[in-house]
Amino acid sequence: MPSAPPEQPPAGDGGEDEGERYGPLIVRRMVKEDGRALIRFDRADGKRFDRADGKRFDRADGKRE
Amino acid sequence: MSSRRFNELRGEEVAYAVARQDRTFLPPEDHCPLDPTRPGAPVTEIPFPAFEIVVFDNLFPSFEAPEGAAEVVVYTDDHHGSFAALEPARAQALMWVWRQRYEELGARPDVEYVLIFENRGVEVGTTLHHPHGQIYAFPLLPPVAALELAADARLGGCAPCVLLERELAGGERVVWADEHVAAYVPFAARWPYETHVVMREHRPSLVECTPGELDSLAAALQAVTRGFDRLFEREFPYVMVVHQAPTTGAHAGHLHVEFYPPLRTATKLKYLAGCEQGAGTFIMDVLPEDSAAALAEAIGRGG
Repeated sequence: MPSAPPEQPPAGDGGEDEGERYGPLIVRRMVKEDGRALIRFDRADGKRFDRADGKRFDRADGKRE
Repeated sequence: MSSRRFNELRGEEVAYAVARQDRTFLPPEDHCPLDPTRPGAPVTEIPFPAFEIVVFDNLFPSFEAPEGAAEVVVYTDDHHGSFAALEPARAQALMWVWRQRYEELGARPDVEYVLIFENRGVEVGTTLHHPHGQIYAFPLLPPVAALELAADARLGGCAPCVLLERELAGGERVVWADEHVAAYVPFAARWPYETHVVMREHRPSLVECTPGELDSLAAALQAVTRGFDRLFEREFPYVMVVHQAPTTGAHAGHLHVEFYPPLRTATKLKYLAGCEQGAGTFIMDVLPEDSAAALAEAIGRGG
């Protein structure tokens, strides 16, 4: 198999790393307060996916647009 | 902490993860742990007000380091919907997420096999309705993967390649196909609408696929799951499992996705009862050719 997994950020710091490119995605890692890993996969072009119903949560207040 | 015991009579490992007895079970919608964290509301599993696709360590793992891993893959921050209803570009991105997790988990020395799957519907044990799947990184080669390697040996080569060639030659059980992927109800299906989605070229895993093949795989999986939902005009429960090569370097295996849907009619379930559990022989109420025709028609209705 390919290379070993990258280093994880410090446990519980709550912050994300800068991210790495993987295909069409940006992979950002963080460690939750209880020590579990969380990985966000976002579009590398900075856009957001559409929703099936054409709606999305607003990033600021969590409400539907 | 999970543990394992070897069942001598069956010749297989049994995993014990007793903490899972207390896992979240069908919470009300406003307490979904897979929703984004709303401002001012309690923090969910995902501490952001919005996200695209997220993977995190399962709070109630069946396997965990240093002997494997258990992860949750959340397809969208929208609580409603399903894999079938994802916007196609998001489904395509999910193939890359699966690929990245297979590659990274498979690189770990304690992992021999990476199982990516989704349980959809309470009929197959879903405990959270938010669209999501799971990944188990096994510290051992599980029995089904071992059976697939045995099938390779029995058929004198890659079994999925041989079986795909047979299915395409006959064609009567093929329900969807494009240049990269074909989907069919297998000749000896063990579930009424069991469906296999198979890469046409020999690809041991998602890692060897081209971007175009990954897009085709996403399209095929969505075509099949949308067809399932149209079949009986209801949310169609299924178990969806990505079959890939073991990650021990043997490089045997052929990427394909198998669906095990328990419905035999709109209101009747296929149960694993005495013969299936006691003898290991499945008794089927419908011929694969008939269920393939119905499923192909349902897929075709989607245009």
